[in-house]
Amino acid sequence: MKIVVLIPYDEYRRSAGARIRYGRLASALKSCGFELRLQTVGSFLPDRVDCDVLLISKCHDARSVIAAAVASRRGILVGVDLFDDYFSQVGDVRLAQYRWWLSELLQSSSFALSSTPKLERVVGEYSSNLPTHVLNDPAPEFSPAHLSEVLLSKLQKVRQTKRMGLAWYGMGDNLHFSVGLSDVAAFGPSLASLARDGLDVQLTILTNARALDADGLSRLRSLPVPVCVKEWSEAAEQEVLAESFATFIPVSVQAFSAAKSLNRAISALTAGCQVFSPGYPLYRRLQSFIYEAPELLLADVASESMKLRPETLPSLEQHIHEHASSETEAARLTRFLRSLPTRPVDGRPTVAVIHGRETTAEAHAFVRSAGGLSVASPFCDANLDFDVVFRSKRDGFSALLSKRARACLRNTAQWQRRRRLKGRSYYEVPVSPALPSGTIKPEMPLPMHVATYRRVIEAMQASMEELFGPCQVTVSEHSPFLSPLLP
Amino acid sequence: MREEVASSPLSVVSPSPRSIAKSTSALLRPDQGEIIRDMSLFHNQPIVSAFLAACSIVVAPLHRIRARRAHDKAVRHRIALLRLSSLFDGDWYLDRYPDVSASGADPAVHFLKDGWREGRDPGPHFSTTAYLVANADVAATGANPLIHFLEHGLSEGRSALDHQPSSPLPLPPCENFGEAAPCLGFKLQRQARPSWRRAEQFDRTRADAILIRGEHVGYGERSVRIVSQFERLAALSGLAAPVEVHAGVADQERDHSPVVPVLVDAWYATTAIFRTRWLGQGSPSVLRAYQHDPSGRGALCLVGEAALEAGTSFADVGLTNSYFPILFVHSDPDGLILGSRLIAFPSLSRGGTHYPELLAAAPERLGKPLDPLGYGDALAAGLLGLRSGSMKPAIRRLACHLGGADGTSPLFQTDLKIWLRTAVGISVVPRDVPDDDAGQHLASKVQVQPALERPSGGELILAGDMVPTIQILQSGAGMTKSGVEALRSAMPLLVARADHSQPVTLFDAPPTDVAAVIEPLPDKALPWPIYQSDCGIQVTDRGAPAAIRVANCSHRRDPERLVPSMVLNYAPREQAIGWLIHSDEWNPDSLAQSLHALGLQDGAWGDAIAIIGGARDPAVELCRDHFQGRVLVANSAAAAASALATPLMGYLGRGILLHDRRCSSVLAKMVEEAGVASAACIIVHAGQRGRGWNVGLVDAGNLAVPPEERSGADWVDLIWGATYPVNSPPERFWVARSELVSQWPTADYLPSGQVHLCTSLVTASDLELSVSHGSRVRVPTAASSLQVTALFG
Repeated sequence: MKIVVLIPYDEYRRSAGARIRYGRLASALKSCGFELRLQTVGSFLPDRVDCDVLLISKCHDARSVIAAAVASRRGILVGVDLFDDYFSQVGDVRLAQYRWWLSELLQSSSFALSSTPKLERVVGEYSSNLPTHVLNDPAPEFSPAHLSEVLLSKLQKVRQTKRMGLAWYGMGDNLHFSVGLSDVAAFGPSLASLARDGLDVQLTILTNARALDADGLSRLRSLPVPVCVKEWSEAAEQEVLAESFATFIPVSVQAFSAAKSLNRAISALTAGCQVFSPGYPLYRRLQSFIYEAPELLLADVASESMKLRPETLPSLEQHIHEHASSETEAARLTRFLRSLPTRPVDGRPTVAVIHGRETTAEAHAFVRSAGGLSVASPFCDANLDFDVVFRSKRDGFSALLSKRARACLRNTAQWQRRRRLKGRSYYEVPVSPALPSGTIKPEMPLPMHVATYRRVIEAMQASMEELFGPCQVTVSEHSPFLSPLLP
Repeated sequence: MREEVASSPLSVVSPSPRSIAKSTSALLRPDQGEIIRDMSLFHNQPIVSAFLAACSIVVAPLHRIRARRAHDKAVRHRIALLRLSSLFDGDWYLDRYPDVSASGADPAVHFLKDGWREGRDPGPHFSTTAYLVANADVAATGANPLIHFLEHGLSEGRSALDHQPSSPLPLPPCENFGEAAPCLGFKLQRQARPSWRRAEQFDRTRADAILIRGEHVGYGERSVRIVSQFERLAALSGLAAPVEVHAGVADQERDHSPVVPVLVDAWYATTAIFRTRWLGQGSPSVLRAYQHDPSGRGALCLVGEAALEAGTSFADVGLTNSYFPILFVHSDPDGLILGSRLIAFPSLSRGGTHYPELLAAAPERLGKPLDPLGYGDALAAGLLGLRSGSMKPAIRRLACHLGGADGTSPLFQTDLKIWLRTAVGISVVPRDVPDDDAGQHLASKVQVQPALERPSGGELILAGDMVPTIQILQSGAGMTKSGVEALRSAMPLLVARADHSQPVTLFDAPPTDVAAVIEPLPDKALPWPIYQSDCGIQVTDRGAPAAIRVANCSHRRDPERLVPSMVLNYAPREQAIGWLIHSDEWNPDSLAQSLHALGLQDGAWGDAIAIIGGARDPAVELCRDHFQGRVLVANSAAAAASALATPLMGYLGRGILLHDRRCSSVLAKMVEEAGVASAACIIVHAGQRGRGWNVGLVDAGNLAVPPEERSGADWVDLIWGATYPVNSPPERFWVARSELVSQWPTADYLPSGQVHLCTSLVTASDLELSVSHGSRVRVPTAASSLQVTALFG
């Protein structure tokens, strides 16, 4: 069985998500008879791809929706893989584009994967009957014998030197949420409790450079323990985890944080670090290895019986086997995929992309290469060879059809008049959307776009059905002002 | 003359060696002493050859001279740096190293040249060896360790004290700062450091030893006074019965003793380090700081100990709890107690959670220095009064509305919860708990079991990101006029920004129980603190801020300004609105667009338009296009208002476009409430920016905002999503009940109990950004509105 993971761009292969989630899984899947490969959406040809499963990962635009529609009609099992929660904040206008994208994508999906049970519930809110599988992030390889030595050595060092190195690593900021360094600062007072007991506590922060702006650094300045800040890299993470006695992973209750995977805690534990995680109990599945209160951590240091110690390594192995083993996850995933009903081949009904105010030439080219129609809305002023152009006039709407689109018309007997637009030849047909009279133009003021957008797009969707029969229509809209208004 | 000619690069005259030397020196880079090899300007090759040959003879000595001069200058600079630093002590150096003294060498020169290489220390507070051991990178460079520390290490955060072994005592991380590397060349007055006795060296058997709760705090005959100070510390920590405190004078040791240093400033260096600055009165003294440790069964702890010099000194306190009071005890170097100073509420200091409250309480708000100690003493008197029972509290318990909370604010943290429970005698109970595991987690984190309630008073409901002010916690109870009615009202709120350099904003909403103002949206944070009582009790000082919120976002993104929230508690309206339009002020294109958008409003099917103008006005035709027959023409607003038969009326002034289809329904729902005279929303303007847009705030209603705060109405961002009373609605847009509008022409002010509301749950657009010439429809002024005040620290 062949699985193609659709990714947004080449650089994404090096991201933590792709590296940990797919990289660690690929070889285990191979031993189960599954081949997994990553492919960028830009190079993807949905009507020609040779695969059994198409998994869409963070391709938040119209191309992935079209890819899913075309592939599913070819009988390919299409699924979406979710491991960041940008979907449950229903009141947040900034994230409307993500929510709309997911709801569009799920229409063609046969299944969903999620990194946590919480995200599984989020998928359930969008599509209650969709088969969903929790695919845990696989852990890195580790040697229990070596880990045992590391643990003893780290504890001995803390007791001898009275110095405790803590590490926090990860993305220090997020465009939409106060997370990362904000959480470190918010839960910083709990570090004071560690330092009050006569220990020299030092915190090393490994994070992305963007997070280290004036606000980020001033947050770190307020921490009650000395802080060393370094830029994150995979090598630096390994180095700091090797040196640190514990990791400090505070978690806030906001949905984005509470839906994160076990990955960071697992990485820390397998590197021989204790995990001090105040706040929301995100790691409750690893509860026997997690310190939520500093007092317990100190008490265990004093009694030399840390939660992660040589005697508890068998339990850790068991937990990892249960929650983070690449073999277990591969076996579960293959079992899940095999359990899904096969998708019947569905002919080739029309797919189309309506281009809103801010669209991309890539979306236009993608839908055409997939055999679909590229449709310009009255809000769109891109100069592309659209198949259909909707125009708003004082007395109503009309559609200009290219020769290619004309061939797809359901009722070829409709009245048609030849028109030229931007040097291209079209056939004009009247449409009857239920819209108030008025002229919609790309150059009208933004409030007018906002006021009319939803009704116009709805009317266009209806018109597309009227003109071409049943078709799957999606919208390519990148304007943050207008994407919240998508129907 | 010949030499001058030869110095010209274009000269063809054969140069003498001397002239070559001169011209070469002009080609030396002053910083590197290298010869610039680009000789392309010399066309005469023989001359170039002679020039290059001479360079090796003449330039090298010049280079060395320059280098030596630079070296001497650097040495002089470093000697000056050493002598200015308190870490270098020449007298100590000569005492410690008799061989140096016997040689007659200058101690600074000796240390700089040889001493540090021989492992000698420059003074009692800097260890050459330890610094090099702790900083291997410095050792590798071969730099003088003290010079490195002064020039680089200090600013890089390296410690001069790292070499000292960790102390088992909970001592602060540093006791005194070394002077910063000087950037100005002034001479610092040097003081000999006194030798002093640490608390652990006190002799408990001495007759004049003062022991407090088992802790030896010093010696003295004035034991009664110092004992009472410790009693006050315990009382304010909630660990002893309240003692009587008189505000203002308190019983601080303000005995103006010439030897007791004066506390000049205090702030939070980190969340756990409280930094104080003292002005010494002449002779050296020793400062000790004490706090009760609430997590250690209330034990009295020494949390800081430092020698203070004459002049300015700093001392750090390693807090056991960042809210508990701190007692500073001054003694002479041998431990004889000279005086004390109690800080009842350290969190009122800069960087503290309650600092915004201090700004709000500042005398005249501006122009006079803040007095955190005096203010804290007054609050302490109130708090102890409540705890002793001499006053009735206004607040019986605190409740935390958990909608929209993320569990990161102080209300969920141990220090504040323990302080509230132990020192204030009140605890927080959760309410409106979200029905999921996150909600359960928040509920468990915000409360301390068992819940502690005061005997009487109302309930103060806070959002999860708010903190109660000390003032509200110590407020006494008053009674409403009737003494029986239930009360539910918004309270004043302080909003601070995460960036401490920005001002704090005080929002004071007038007392109102209008649900649109005080009720939060589902899953959203409470917009204001709410005071609720069911037996006629109210807060005596209602104008005092009740809570502090730290805004995690001080400005809204442009899309949020157009669509503040995707989820609103509303349904499309069923009541029609009659819209008043002065056609003569409108641009025809704008009016067409505005009418188009009006027709797309949810529930607009029955709306009517009243054109104030002439029947032949082109606007009439436009309106007929959009609203079929539901258009009338009147010659005045009053006539139009009386002619419209719709239950609601709206005013649509020049350039206003309702871009959000929910807008009129939200406002219609607001005016359904009793006491709401009109409802409006914030007006924004979307300006073109390249192919994109930026959205600015235009009008947030008329209210008590000082002129300096009006520009941009940025304060709205701090209460985004809230609904608030205004003196009058935005001049070009509002919705009201028709029967009320009909009464407006005859009134200057709204009847008592009626309010105009403005909301930021939805917004409307101004297409033209035109200058307003005032409302064309008379709207009476409301007696009260939200008051907004910027507070500068």
